[in-house]
Amino acid sequence: MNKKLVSILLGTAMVATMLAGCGSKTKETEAPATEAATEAATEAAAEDAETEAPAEDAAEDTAAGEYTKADGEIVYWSMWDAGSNQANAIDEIIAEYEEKSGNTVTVEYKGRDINTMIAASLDAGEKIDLYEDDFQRLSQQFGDYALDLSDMAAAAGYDSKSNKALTSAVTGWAGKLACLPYQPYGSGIFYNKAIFEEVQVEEPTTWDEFLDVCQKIKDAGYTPLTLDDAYINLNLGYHLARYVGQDGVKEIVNNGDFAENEAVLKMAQDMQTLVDNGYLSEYAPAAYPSGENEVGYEETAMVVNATWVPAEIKGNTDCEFEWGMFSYPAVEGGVDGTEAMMVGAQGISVNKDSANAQAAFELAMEIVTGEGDAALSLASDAIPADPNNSEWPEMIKNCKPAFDAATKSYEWDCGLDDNQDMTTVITEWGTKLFTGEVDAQGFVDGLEAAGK
Amino acid sequence: MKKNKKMMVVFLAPALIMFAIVYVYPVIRTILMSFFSVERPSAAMSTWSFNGLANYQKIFSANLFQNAMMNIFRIWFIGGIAVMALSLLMAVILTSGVRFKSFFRAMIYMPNVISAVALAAMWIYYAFDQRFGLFHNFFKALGLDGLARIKWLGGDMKFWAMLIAFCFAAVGYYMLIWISGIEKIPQDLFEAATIDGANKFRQFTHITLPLLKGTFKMNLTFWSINSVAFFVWTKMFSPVTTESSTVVPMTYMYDIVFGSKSVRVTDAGAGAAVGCVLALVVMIVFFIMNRLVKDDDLEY
Repeated sequence: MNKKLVSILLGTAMVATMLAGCGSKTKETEAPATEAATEAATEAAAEDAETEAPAEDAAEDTAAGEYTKADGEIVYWSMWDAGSNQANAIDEIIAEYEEKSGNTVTVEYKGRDINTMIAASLDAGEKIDLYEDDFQRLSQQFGDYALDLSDMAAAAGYDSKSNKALTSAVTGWAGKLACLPYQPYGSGIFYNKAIFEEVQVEEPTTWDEFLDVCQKIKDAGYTPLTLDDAYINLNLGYHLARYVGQDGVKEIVNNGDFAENEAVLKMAQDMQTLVDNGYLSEYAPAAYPSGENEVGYEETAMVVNATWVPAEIKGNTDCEFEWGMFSYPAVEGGVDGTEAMMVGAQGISVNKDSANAQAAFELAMEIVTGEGDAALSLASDAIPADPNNSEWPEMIKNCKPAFDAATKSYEWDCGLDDNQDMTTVITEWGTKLFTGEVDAQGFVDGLEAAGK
Repeated sequence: MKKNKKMMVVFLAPALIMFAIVYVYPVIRTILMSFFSVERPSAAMSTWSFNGLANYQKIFSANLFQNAMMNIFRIWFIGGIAVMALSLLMAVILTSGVRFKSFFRAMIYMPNVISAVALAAMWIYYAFDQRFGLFHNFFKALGLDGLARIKWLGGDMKFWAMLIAFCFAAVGYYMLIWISGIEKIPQDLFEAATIDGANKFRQFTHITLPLLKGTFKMNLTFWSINSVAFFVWTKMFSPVTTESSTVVPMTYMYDIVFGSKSVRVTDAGAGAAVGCVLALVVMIVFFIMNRLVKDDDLEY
């Protein structure tokens, strides 16, 4: 009898321990239950926030320096790593917001792998009011989870505080303002200004001028251009997009028209010129980031990349020179010129099921516009998202003219990655082209065979 | 002792329930998902739409998946031969009465206690680097400029560089298992063989090797599991974009399920199909292995 009693007690203890182990889960399931009552009340407010009139009211509050009172804490999942420059700047913005609004914000720094967690967490009903990721992914892959911020944004005068190219890209992909873009990047050819001055060359605008610059740099004893394996498709995509435009690039990769469209061969011939004339580093395509580091070692003058690259190279090599940047050169007879640039950004979305949508939006605005955006930009050596913040970080200040002059935007790799099945094949043949293993015709033939 | 069925149920139920929730349910869901069009792994089943074998057709017709399967086969087969041979050689040397046995054993095993990320970074930046790496400097010092110029991390060589680094890290683990197997063999067998005039090599081929059949099977099982789970090394050797030279099924699956810089449209159904194919491959390998390597006929 005693044994039985002990056994029952042990069994009960084990089950209790297991339940305790699952405590957080129980808590999570309890939380929505206890929140149900408040949710019912706040849901109406959240729904109202989606309609125009209350959004305008909220904007008036914001304009008057007042903030919407959140129901409980605002939960914010960030894509940065804790301790990074971005995270430190965001922490300061949040602290100021908390003080001004009286709201409490819980921020969780999830790092770049946040894209593997967002959907599952939101599907599971996790309380997340704000979340971040690449702005294109937030608009396309996670667009269904995002609240349409159009009305709130209109009411808050976001239009005058945002980059239209980026916001229109978001609405184009998602059919709504699925996120507020921030930490934008521009792309082009980044160079060591001291070498350009030494060689006495100006920023080229056409491919012929670019080749001329390369020759002069080479004559001065420097390597003109470097390339990392991670950016092979960026180089190829940019050049091809200059010939046929981004839509043309997408058409080629999706239809497998590598041999049918003569622009592919022209592009490959231009790339082959770089190799044949010794304009490309002997190590190219190098294992990322050792190629771009050559610029930091002041051995190589230029690299095709984006506005994060000066900070990245400085971090790797501790280089101190002044950076210059110009838009990717135009080619003869090409569809696009230097006005077209591959741009992108990160973004902040508000969960469509958030009970604190308006308050979350206001917090996002603190980060992506005004002083918050300026502080974040300077702290992370990134472009400010708010065009009113005219002061760019010292390292990328020379990128501003090209960025401001861009009137047409390209997606990542300028459309060359549009056919997912071909992306790595193009990289593979690009590697062969840049190493001189195949010539331009061999490159085209290889892709044509793989694409059919 | 009297069996009490109620008590058995009480004690077993939590474990069984947990097993069903965290193992059986995901497995069944994954198998089902592989026959449906599903955008995200966490999507509600009501949003799935049946598409028969289309996911399997999709992955098998994808160049990248074919590359991934070929790469994983090369890792398993070529890497397997190298690791098994090297680890066995080390184990035999270390059990032959060599001095400083503990020191060497610890040294060879050490890569296993270091994170794969740190190990891969070490290989990439300090060994394979084309300008400052160990191999470059070593061959340059010997005046072998051709070898010094090898692009270890470029094109197809990247795969072999990755395999070398992976095998280096793996040898110690399998060596320990071989050592445990060798030490289990009774010493009197070797003594008798010595008296009969068998040299060390004959003792190895006629005693050690045959009696290590069970250990070999165990090592092969672990190696197969580790090969199929190959992921971190690829991510380290191709950190920004997926490349055909280093892609493996796990990274292919990761990209199509969660998206990447170039994969904007996710497909959890195809990802589930990759998982099912991998599971099937592992089962076939184990089946063949069990048929070929029988260790139940040994008694010592």
